Parts: sequence; structure tokens; C-alpha cells
Amino acid sequence: MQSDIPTPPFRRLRGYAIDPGLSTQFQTRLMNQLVYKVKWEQLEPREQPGAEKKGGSRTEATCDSYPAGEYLEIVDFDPATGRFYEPVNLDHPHLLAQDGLQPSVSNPQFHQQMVYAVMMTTIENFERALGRKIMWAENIPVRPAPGQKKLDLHFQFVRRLRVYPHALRQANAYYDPIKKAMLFGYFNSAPANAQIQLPGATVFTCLSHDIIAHETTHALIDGLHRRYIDATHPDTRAFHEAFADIVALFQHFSFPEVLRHQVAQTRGDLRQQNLLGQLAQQFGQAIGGYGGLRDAIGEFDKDGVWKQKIPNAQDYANEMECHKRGAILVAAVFDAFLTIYESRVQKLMRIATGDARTPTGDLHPDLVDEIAKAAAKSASDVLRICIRALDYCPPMDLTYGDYLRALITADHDMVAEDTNGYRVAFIEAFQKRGISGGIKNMAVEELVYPLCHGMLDAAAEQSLGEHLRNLKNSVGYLTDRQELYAMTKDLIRGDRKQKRQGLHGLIEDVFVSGGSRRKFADLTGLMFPPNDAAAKKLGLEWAYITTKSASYAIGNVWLANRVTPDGNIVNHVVMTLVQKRGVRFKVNGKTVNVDEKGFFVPDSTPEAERGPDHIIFRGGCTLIFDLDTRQLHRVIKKDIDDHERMVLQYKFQHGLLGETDETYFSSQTMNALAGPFAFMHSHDH
Amino acid sequence: MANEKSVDSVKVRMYRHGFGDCFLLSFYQAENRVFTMLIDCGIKLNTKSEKVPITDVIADLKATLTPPGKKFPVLDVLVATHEHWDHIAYFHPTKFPDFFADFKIGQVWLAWTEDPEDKEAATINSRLRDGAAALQVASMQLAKTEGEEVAKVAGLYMGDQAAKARADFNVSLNNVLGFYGLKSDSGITYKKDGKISVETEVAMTNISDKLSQSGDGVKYFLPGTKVDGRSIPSGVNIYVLGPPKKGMINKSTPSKGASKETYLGIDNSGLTSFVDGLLHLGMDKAGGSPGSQASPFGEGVGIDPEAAKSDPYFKHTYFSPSEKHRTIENNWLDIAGQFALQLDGAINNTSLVLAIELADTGKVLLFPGDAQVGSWMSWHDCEWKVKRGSKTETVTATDLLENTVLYKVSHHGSHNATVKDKGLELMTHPELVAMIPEKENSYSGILYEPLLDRLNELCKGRVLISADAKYPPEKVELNKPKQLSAAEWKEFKSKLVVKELYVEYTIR
Repeated sequence: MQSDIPTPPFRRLRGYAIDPGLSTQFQTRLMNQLVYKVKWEQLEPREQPGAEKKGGSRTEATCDSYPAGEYLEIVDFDPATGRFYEPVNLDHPHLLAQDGLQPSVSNPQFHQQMVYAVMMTTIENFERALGRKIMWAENIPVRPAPGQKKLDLHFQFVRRLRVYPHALRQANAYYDPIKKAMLFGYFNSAPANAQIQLPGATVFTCLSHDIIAHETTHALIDGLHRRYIDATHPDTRAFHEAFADIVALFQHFSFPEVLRHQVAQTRGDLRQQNLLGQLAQQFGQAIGGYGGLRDAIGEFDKDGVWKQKIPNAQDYANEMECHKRGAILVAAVFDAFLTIYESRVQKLMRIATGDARTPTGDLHPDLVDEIAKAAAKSASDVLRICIRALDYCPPMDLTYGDYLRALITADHDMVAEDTNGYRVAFIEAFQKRGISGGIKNMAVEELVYPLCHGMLDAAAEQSLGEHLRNLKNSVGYLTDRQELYAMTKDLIRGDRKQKRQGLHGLIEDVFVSGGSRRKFADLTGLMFPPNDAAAKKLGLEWAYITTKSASYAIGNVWLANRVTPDGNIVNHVVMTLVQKRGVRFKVNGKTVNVDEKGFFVPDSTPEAERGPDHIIFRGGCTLIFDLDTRQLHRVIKKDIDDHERMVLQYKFQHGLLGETDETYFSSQTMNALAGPFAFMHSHDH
Repeated sequence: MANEKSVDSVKVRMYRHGFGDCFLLSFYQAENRVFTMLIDCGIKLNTKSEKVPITDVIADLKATLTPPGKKFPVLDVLVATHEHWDHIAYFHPTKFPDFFADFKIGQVWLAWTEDPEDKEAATINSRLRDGAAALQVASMQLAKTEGEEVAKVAGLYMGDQAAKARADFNVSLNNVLGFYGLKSDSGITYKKDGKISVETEVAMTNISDKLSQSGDGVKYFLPGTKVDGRSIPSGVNIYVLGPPKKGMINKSTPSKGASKETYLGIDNSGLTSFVDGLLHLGMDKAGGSPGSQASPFGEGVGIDPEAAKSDPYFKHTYFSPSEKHRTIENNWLDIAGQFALQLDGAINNTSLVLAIELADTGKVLLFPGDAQVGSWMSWHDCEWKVKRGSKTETVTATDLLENTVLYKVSHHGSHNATVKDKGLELMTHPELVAMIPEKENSYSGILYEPLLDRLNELCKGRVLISADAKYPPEKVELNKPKQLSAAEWKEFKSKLVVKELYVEYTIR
């Protein structure tokens, strides 16, 4: 029976490995075109006028389709030209038979194919590392709350990210968090080296693997941690940027063609200048710089000579500009990768050459293969560790130090014994750049967040465990993301009419009003004053009279099912609890102190009453709950009453940390205009 | 060698009419005024001082410059630094017809970028012109669609902030356009062979054509040259520092980092397609038809929005009524803000930069117009030969900066028009005084406080600001700054005249 033929595991789509620029260089032309193997999905079928439903004789999988699937919808509108470009039909039999369209700069349908292939590859990398389906950030309409003055936020599931491959006419591309859309630009190049690129040629950002992967990562992080777009610390925006670069960078290493080529060219020494370490090749060349735009390993100096970057322990303390600060993190992670890679490759080199030195002649092709494999393995491990760490990060105000601790803790939970020295490699690379995580002794044991066993009241912990197991049972096997979303929300909220208690109510009952108020507050970094009046004094909201505690929000509840390298299965629930307060300050020149009597409830205090020196301050925690033991496993918290952090946020947001902003159009104006990412990537500095 | 007939003092009169430059320099041999020079006379739109009407300024100029027994004001040299409204507005022949029409002007000095014979200038000007025209189209379009954009985000979380940002942005954009004497609602003034904008061009043309008719005509100056000694009184050397001749003119902001120069100048901005797109949009509105270069894929590729509305896919995605907030018609125009700054910077960098040296003492008066970073950096590529007695000496930009005793602060004291290490930090002369023509709340980021702080340190408090209510020069005159010695204070006071109409300082 032909209907028994299973759906294919992959959709094979041709594309550029890096960007079109490399196809015109003899040395790199062969490795630059590759076939992306994208996990098969049913794309939205085209309506076929007149065609009756054929009662299953022809499976849906062979219908003509639009470039819109479970995660993305590509809408190719070019507003500057006033044209809509026809959506590519990736299910056309001819395209199915020849791995999609031939790479071409002048064919907009190929552009759609390229964007689809790279975005889906990036999404897949996240899902594999996180052990669950990814969600985009929610759409949030605001409506007046019934019978209240304040506005209520409503959260709506967003199934598909909207993708516009030709939205802008500038050397820029960005993720717009309000539109839930990716906007790619195109522009005329003005390269430093006319041999590589024709001056005046059109460069499309939607054809660059790095740019696509980078922007997709912004959207993915926004879906995981909505609060990370808030600039509350010099690290927050820089982290967004750096992480997006890290994903783009390590994705290169999953392409065997590119990898083999570069390993052969550098004779296995990836510390040398190589294409894999450079982001956004063509983009960088087109606007007149040398080499890639953001180069993790090194950069060309004034005379066009390539130099490796030398880490400096002062880097972290001194560099405040967002992209430069981001580069510190990229360099640290790349450094860790190189250490891991080199320890693997040294063996191979010794076998091949008799000593561990880099050989001088061309490498044997078999050796190139083996080295490429080692690089691919190291890279995919590093990428997975980096992504997985996101589950161990606090829900807001992330610093590099927090991230380092998240990396180490997440890896510790997955791999009990660090035989390959991964964790040490990371710590060393971060330490070299002055990133400490506020821990004096940079030992692995110190950086791992402590276990929380026994820190909750046993009975309460049990009932929480029960509730979360129910969650696992009801959503653990759902495959539809919208259903998954709706069900999770429902289990958080509960249903008063059906007298079904939600997670929110449960926490309030068993911890906040159940006698362990103090203990729970200490553990989570939240505050639970006894009554409405006390809450208001602290700037905390007490939403309804019927509530038993100051308001707090459950941001995320995620299941994480992961198989460890040792074959164990980890069953965790990750959830975040968040509170917010309005904080006023007493400012005297550069001396800033929290005004202890000036806290205000943000949502019920109009802008005009907040005074000039205030911030909206958030605190809370990420809880990791182990479903197997029914125990709270780890807590990563940012205290809501941390005055030091309040002052730091104030200073940062008011430019007192030595960061200079563009003064004509304030950066705030720019950010709010099209989201924080719109202007971070326009290269004016 | 002191020459009896050498100029030994210069009075610099800074008028206080608002946010704009107007400086009258009078050169003296002992008690005799031997030479007069007016540097700029303009104002940014909507920044007039309430206290000092421009007519008073013009009246004072006429009174000061009309020789006894004559009926017409006589001016030896008129300098127009660059084509921005806040520098040349009042030379406009129809808006202000009776301001300068009766002046007898010996020479008009302009930068080489205004020279119609200069090919590089022609290229630069055509780029600037296209840019300004494009910007105006963008600004009009953004203003027109503001309501539409605000409606899109209404009712969404953070939507109120996005809406406010949109409004702020459009205001800022208009603010920049104010430098060209334009407003976004004033209609398209793009003219194929015109210059940057019709209004500033008219003013500039009036300077070079009409106002120069009474004397020797227009002189255009190249960087690295000196003003011919026959045009100026003895005892004075005038060095031309800018605008720079190659490349540097497009660099308006400081580069960060040691080696990376990823700035987008006007010529390599990557914004060509943006500008083209806007010009086509502008021509569309004016009844022209868009050319083929409008599309990156050539003509005939794709379908127009009307046809797309009935396409089943676009109908339920892009045109879905519930997803209006996800549409992108106008997002490509947002780069106009950044582009406006670049354009503004590029035009500022076309400023004629003059260093006026009193040969006897070596003291220098620095008038940089609105020169920004690129211009400053290029000064150091220049060298001048100058005769001192029987010897020929080489003068560098560093020498001139070290000997500067009066610094007319570039670009009204903004953050990117006074270079630190190769500029301000070299101005170490103990008599250094700074003058800033500027009015409060006229332009965000001006006055740039850190610059003002540093100026106050270097000048030991002798910083004179024309029209900023926060920093009145009357206050400078009243209180002796701590850093000044009693003798210095006495000396400074004796050279300073503060009036409602102007601030005048004498260099001796």
C-alpha cells in the first residue's frame, strides 16, 4: 500500500552556508552551497479552485503549499517598492525532487526558501536542547479590568512568527516584539574590497545565515524570557545580542561542508582566522569594514592584518557599549569551545603527526574528516549547553555572572561527572575576561546553585508536586502548541466555577497563607506582606480584596524532558515567579539612595505622580522542580527587596554608569519605536 | 617684529538673537578699526529669543558698520560657513529683503564645497541634495501616517509607549529638517539641479551672487591654504583648516574602538536604495512614474497591493483585519532618523573652518562653523608655511590649537563637534575663552553638559553663551570664578562687554 509510505523525516532545501558573497570567491565557492535538512512539517496547503477533496487518495503531504507552517509564516511584502512577491511553493513536485530552488540572489522565492530553512534549523536546535516545543512571545492586548481603574493584560498564543524577507531598505534586520515579526532589509553595498563585491550591488540580509539565525534567536529568547528585553543592567541587552551571535556561530559548525573546508585550510587550528568564527560576512564587507561584522576570535587591525583578540580581565568591568560588551560573552564562549575542541583534537594530531604540533603541510583527508567530526561534536555540545542554560536563568535582570552559573548548574544537572572538563573550560574562559558571577572562589562547586531539598515545608512540597505531575500528565503528550499553551495557562489559573484550584491559587494557599510565608519569601526572593496596606507601603500591588497575598505573576511553566548523555531521563518543571514595585530615589549628584518611604504601586500610579527619579523594579525567581522526586530542585532568584540592585538599575537607566547615548534621538525613543532590536543592528558606530 | 601698522586687537561681537550664529569681528590697529568681518547670520526655525529681535541685530550691524558720513554699511568680508538655516537664514533675499541688500561687501568667503567649478563639490552636493529631498519625503510620509501607526498598536501592551515614541520621533525629525529651513509639511522643495533645499540654497545663492557684487566677489577656500595677505590687514594670518578635501567629510560621529570604521557616510551609507526609493515615492506623488531601479528584482516582479488583497494567502495573512498591528508599510522609513543625523553631520562638515592669528602675539581665534569629528581629524593632515620676520616657519593644527585664545564652540556645543584629544585638549593657552551661540531647549543634546564642564575647566570659567536662559553671560561677568587669579579676572573684565543685544570680547 502506497499510503503506508511514511512522511519523510526531512525537507531538503538548498541554501547558502554563510552568505552569497562567498560563492563568488573561488576558494570558498564549493563549500558555500549546502542542503539544509529541515525537519519535515506539513505546510499550509494552497486552495485548489475546483478541486474536490479526494477522500484521502492523495495525502495532504503532496498538496501545493504556502511558506507557512507550525512556527513561521513568510509574507514577502516589500513596502518601499510596493510589491508582494509570490509565496514559494516548497511542495511543488519539481522542488521536492531537487532540494528546493537553486540558490540565487535575484529570485525572491529562493530568498523565502533560505529564510525558512535557516529559521527552522535554528528553532530545531532550541527544541532539541530544551527538550520541549518552543513558544513565541505572547501577543498582549490590554483591556480595562472589570470594575477596576487599572488595565488588565490578556495573553494570546502566537502560533506563527511573521517573516518579511524584504521589509526595509537599509543594512539592518530586526525582530519586532510588538509585531511578532522579523523584518529583513536590503541595501547597496560599498565594499572595501571591490574584488569580492561589486560596489553598488544589492545585498540582502535575508540571504545571510548568520543574520537570519541571529534575529531568530532574539525571537526565541523573547519567547522564553519576556523580561530580557528590558534594559535594566548593562548586561541585559548585551546578552540578547551576544547570545544571538553565539547561536549563529555554533550553527556553522553543524555544516560538514564548511567545517571540512575550514579545518583543511587552518590545518585544524581554529584559533587562526577562519570563516566559521566570523559572523555576517557579506554584511560586514558590504558596509566597508574588513572581515565579518562581529568577529569572535579576532579582528583586522588598521592595516588589514588579522589579529587574535587577547582577553583582558578588565574587559567586563570597563566595556559598557552594548555590542562590545556582547562581544566579551561571545569571545568567552568561543574560547571555551576552542579549549574543548583542542583537547579532543590533540589526540588525533598526535596520532597523525607523532607530536601534538600543528602540521605544516595539508592534512590527510581522513584526518580532516575526523577533526571536522570532533569540531562538530564539540560545537553541538557547546550550543546545547548554552541553550539549556536559559532554563536556569533568573526571569529578569540577567547578568553574565548569572549566566555562567546557569551554564555550570545546568550542565551539572545533566552530566554528573565532568570527564571532558567542559565546565572548567567555561569557567576559565569567563574568568579570563573578568566575569565572576559575584562569586569569589571560581570553583565549580561554588558556581553551581545550591540544591533546595528540604527547604519547603514537606506537605506543601508534596501538594505542589502532585499538581505539577498532573500538569505533566495533561500536557506532556500534547503535540499541538496551541493546545499545550492553553492547557498550561488553564492549569496555572484553575477554574473557580468548577472549584478547580490552579497553580497560582495553590501556591498562595500552601505557602503564602499556609504559615510558611516568611520561608517561602526568603526562598523565592518575593515579598508577602500581611495585608493590603503593608503591601502598598512597599510598592506591591494587592490586586483584589479577596486575594490572600500581594500580587505575583507566574510567568512561565515549562516541562523539560531531557535525556542525559548517560542515558538518564530528567523530568523537570521550570517556572518563574515575578513581582514588581515602583521605586523612588534620593539623588544627590552621583550619590543615589533608595527612598525608603517612596515606594509606589506601578499600575495604579500615573506617570505624573511618579516623580523624576524612579524606576519600575522587578524581582522573583526561576524554580526548577524535579517531578521524579517531587522535590524543589533549584531556585535562581533576584530579590525584590535588593536595594543594591535597585540603585544599580537606576544608575544604568539614567546614564550614570559611564555609558554615552546618542543625544539627538534618545535611545529610548528609538527603542520604543520599533522595539529594542531595531536600532541595535543599524551600524552607525 | 612688531609693525606699527599691524593689527593688535580684535573685538568679537556675538549676537544674542536665538539659536544661530552671528559674529562681527572688528580688527584694530591701536584705536583705528581697519577691517571688519561678519561670520554667518542665521537662526534655526522657531528658536528666536524673546528679548532680542533680529531687527535689533541688523540695526546694530548697520550702525556699527556704516562709516561716518556714509549712507551704507561697509563690510570688508562676509564669511558664510555652511548651508544651514541657523547660519545663513538672514541672507535670504525675499524673506528678509532689507537686511543685507544695502551692504557694501568687499569679499565673500566660502568653502570650496560651494564652488560651482569644483567637481568633488558637485558630487558631494548632489548627494546631499538627494538626501535632503529624500528625507523630506520620508518625513512627510511619516507625519501623514502617524495616526495610522498609532492606531495599529493601540490596545496592545507597550503600545502606548510605541505610540509616544512615534510622535517623539517625528518631532525630532522635523527638528533636524529645521536646519534646512524646511518643515515636513511645507511641500516638496526638491529641485533636480538645486542644492540641499530651496530655502537655504536661495539664501546661499544670494550671498554668492548678489551680496558679493559690490566688491571683489567670492573667494572659495581649500584646506591647508592661507588667506591671501593682500585681502587682509597686516599683522593677521588666516589659516583655512576645513572643510576637508577627501573622504573625511562624511564622518560625523566619533568612531568607537581602535580600528573599526563602520560608520555610514553619505557616500557609502548603503542607503542609496533607501534614498532612491524615497525619491521615487516623491516623484510618484508629483505625478512622475517610478523607474525600474525602484525594485531590487527588476520591473514586473511581484504583484501590487491591490492584487494582493484578493490573493488567498495574503488575504488571510497580511490583510487579516485582526492582525493589523503586524503590518509594515512604514517601517522602512524609520531609518530616516539616523539618516537625518548623518546628513546633518555631513553638511556640518562642509563648514569653512578659519583660524585667525594675530602675528605679533601668535594668539589665535578659532571659528570652526559647525565642523564635526571628520573635519577636526583632517586638520592635522594640513601644514602651513608662514613668514615670521626673515624665517619661514611651519605651522601645524596643533600649534594653532595650542595658541587658541578664543574658541567659537563648534555646532553650538553638541556632543560630536568638539574633538577631545586632537582638539579641545590641545587648547591649553592660559587666556582661553569660549563663546557658544545657543539657546536652551532648541535641540535635544545641546548643550552637551560634559563638554560645557570641560570648557569651564580649560577656560577657568570664561565661557560665554549667547541666549541660553540657564547660562546667562551676565552671571559670568558678575562672579569671579575660583580658578581665576585676581589679575586674570581684572584683565578678563576689562575685555568683556555684556549687553542684552550682544556679548563682546576683545583679544589683544
